[in-house]
Amino acid sequence: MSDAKPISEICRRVDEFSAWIDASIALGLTGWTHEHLTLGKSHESRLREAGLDQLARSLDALLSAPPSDRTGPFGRLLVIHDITRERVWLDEPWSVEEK
Amino acid sequence: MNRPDLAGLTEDELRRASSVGLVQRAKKELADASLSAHAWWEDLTIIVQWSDGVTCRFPPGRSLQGDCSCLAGTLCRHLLRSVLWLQANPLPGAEIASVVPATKGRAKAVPAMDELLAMDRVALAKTIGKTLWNKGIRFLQEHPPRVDSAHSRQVSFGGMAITISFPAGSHWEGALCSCRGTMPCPHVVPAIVALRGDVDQIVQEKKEKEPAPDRSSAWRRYHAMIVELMTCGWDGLSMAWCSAAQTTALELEKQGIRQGAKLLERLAGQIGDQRTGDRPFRAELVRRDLAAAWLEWELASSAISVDRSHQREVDLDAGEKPSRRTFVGVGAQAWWTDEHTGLNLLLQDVESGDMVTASTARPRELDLSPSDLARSTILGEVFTARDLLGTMFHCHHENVVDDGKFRGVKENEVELKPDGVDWLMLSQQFGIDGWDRLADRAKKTFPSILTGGRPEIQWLCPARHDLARFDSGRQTLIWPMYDRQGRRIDLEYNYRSERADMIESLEKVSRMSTPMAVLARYRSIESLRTAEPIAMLFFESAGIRLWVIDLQRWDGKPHVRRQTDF
Repeated sequence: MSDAKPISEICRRVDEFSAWIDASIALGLTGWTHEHLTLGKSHESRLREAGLDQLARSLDALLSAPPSDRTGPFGRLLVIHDITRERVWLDEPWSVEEK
Repeated sequence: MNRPDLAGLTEDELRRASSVGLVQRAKKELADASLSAHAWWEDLTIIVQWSDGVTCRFPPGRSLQGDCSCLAGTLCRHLLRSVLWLQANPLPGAEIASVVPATKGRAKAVPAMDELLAMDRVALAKTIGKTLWNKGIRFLQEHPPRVDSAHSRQVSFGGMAITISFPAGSHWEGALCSCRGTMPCPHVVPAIVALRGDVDQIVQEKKEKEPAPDRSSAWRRYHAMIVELMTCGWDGLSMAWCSAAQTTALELEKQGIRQGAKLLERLAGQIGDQRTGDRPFRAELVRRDLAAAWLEWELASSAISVDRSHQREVDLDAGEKPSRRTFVGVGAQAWWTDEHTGLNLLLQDVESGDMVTASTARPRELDLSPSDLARSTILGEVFTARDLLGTMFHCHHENVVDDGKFRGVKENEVELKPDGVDWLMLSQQFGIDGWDRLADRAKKTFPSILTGGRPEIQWLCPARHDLARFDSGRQTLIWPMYDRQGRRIDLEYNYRSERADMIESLEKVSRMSTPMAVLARYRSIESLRTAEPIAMLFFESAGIRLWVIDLQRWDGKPHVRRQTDF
């Protein structure tokens, strides 16, 4: 069980991790550098430390997958990350416009 | 006159078949004492010859679908004035048979409407012809017809602004349709089916025959597009990805996968913006859309299940009782695809200031200009786009709450209030007169699409303005607007040939008074220094006038109708 962290610290770590995901999308799953992977590994331990076990586990699954099989784990990581931030647009965000 | 199909035509029917203006013009010419006519029978055709050299012919059973020597190709004022003249000057002669005799161009007699309505369906389809029948049935499935209870042989189509009637004594090819297309138009078949009372049966049979749409290939393409984006990254995507994604989005839309289509379209737009540099790139938007897109894929492939209850915050207290919102139409934008044209009406909630959109579409084959659309397209079967612009209307709706959860909105009534809107009050209440406040308002509302509405569209109330000028590349008209502290926002209007007339008008207007308020859309939250104008309010001697700009985007006759004054 991780030590409890203040909410602000958890948010900061999630935000830092968001930047790593953005860089991951920019590079493309087959274009990650060694530095990018190392940085990802450090994010994993920081997320686990902050008590975000599900997010850390999905990051671990991604980093353990070969480059050709990263799509699924990466998609799921994106979803869990966004749900962690409670910002996934699942329900019709356009319904009001189109009435 | 013993042609019941012509004698029975009311002025209302003539207006619907042509236009108010054309009927007025025909009546005016008819009243002209210097114009005279004489008419005679030629076999079963009535011929009317006018002193101005025009000759109109009305073959039997074709009602208003006559021929005119003016070669207008459609229902012209000469045919209209001939009908009006014949109604006032009955022509002696033999009674017309209800069945049109065979002529050299037609192999057999065309049955009258009464016969068609009594015919069995196989014979009916054969009489009408396979191509037209199938086309009509397809139309019927998408647009349920409604028989007008007040008129025995009049049918309208919900949301399409199309009404078709069969004058007494005419056969089916003599129908009067407001589409003004060549007869027989595609609306004839669904109208006949509706008059026979066969709609439900035919739709049901058609549904049973049609296989369920195969969405798997559309989902596969969707998945492939997302995987390509993930794998290559937005820096490494091929140039063709954006257009391929947009094409796939259209395909998804056709298959009814609306959410996936929207997400893919948004991703294509964001990646495209990054390429062209049109707008500042926002990585977090791509990340969020990609997450949502992936989730849609997972849900579709049933790999996971998600509790959606947390996704929308609903004020259940408000949801338990019906709510009432009042909107005012503040702007319009035309849009088109290969198959449809339409208008998006921008509506503002007069209490909250939320901007929402009402959308309408009609087949492109009707070839109407946006100005026509604004005047004649029915929205919600109640009012036209023109009714909405600059007019307040009330929408009464009820949130459906089941077991403490929000389940949707039940639309109840829409009431159009003919009084004009109080523009002064509206612009003072929601207009922004200090540009420093724009960032605050945009930050509060911009990322929150879940709250609904179009927060990137706001009223600006400028204190002064500069002349509108083109940029050095002569591609964009830039019209600077200043607030009281001298802060500047540039209204930018990109040049396109369709917009040339509007640009000319904007340049002229910019030499005159400062607009009281400008409805403008920001390009993005980071770039609050530029915005695109949609509509403007001006003080005039007669009051305050709403000037809709974007409606002119592709007006087919800009020189005829220079401004659209609602």
